[in-house]
Amino acid sequence: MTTTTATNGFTTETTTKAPDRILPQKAGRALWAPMLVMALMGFAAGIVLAIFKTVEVNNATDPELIAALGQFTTAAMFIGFASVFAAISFAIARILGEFRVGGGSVQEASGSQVKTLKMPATAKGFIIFMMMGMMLIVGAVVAHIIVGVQVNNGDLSLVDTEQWSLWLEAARRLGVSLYLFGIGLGLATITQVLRFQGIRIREVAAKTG
Amino acid sequence: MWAGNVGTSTGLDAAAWTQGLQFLGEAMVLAGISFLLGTILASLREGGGQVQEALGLPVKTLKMPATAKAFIALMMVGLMIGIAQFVGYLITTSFDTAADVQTWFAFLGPLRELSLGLLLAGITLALATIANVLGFQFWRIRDIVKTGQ
Repeated sequence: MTTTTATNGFTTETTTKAPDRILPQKAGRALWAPMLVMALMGFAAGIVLAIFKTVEVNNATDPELIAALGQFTTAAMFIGFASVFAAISFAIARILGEFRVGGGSVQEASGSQVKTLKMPATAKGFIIFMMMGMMLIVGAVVAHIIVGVQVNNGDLSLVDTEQWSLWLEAARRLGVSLYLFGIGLGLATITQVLRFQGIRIREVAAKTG
Repeated sequence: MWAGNVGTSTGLDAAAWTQGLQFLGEAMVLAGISFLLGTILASLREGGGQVQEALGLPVKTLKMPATAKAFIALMMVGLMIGIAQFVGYLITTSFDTAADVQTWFAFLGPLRELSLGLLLAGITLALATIANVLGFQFWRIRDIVKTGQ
């Protein structure tokens, strides 16, 4: 049975057994490593494309191909950035999961009621900003690929390509900012959990003598 | 200076200094965050050990996990690439033609992004290591509470 109460200004759930991880924490545990691998693959692909672009810039014979390779390089690099920021977010979710399960199991082992912090607003904001940042960067990556293909086929002029690059750079930067803001909220959630667990440890220690 | 000299050799030099320095600074900030995470890991290790010692129990600590080793490697490589891209930009200031500078710029742009990417990947691994250490320490506390050992 779960009851919701306010403990020292924190909204908590009280159970008799240690709680399991919630869905975002389970996702964090499962996905941080695949995201990290994807990020490293994106960066590697970006550097390989950059080498091709450098060769083309040196030859200076095909400006459309150079522009297209520029778009593809940025797209690959930002697949890497979107993935590495996702990996950081999932790692933070994993840390929060360890606090939830570990804190609960220690309380259970000491024979006291298990009090767990209910998902704070910062944690909800963390998820929302992370999702928005990811969608924006992935959208920009897709647009870079489309622009790259079009300029290489001759369907888009170099001037239009440059204009698109400016727009997409702004979108990417906004995406990164949203991601970083989300990560900041994730870290703020860890701070809240640490404060709550500090108070709860003192309560349990006082009761068990 | 860069904005006021676009299209001149002074402008190209200023572009090289600006981009090189900015990304060197960003790499240093990320390296600073990595060192802070390393400090958190050290505090968790020391604190966990001290609590066990104070209770008169055998001190059990986690052996350095693979994620921690990879964290250090990625941070070092990322920082080195960050320094290398700065050196690369400085080298371009000695070039005579804009074409040579543009060729180098074409590679240095993605290289500096790689530097930040690797540093961020290192930070991910540091956070994963913190999660591992926390999992171990909660297990150890529960063990002490249950068995007294």
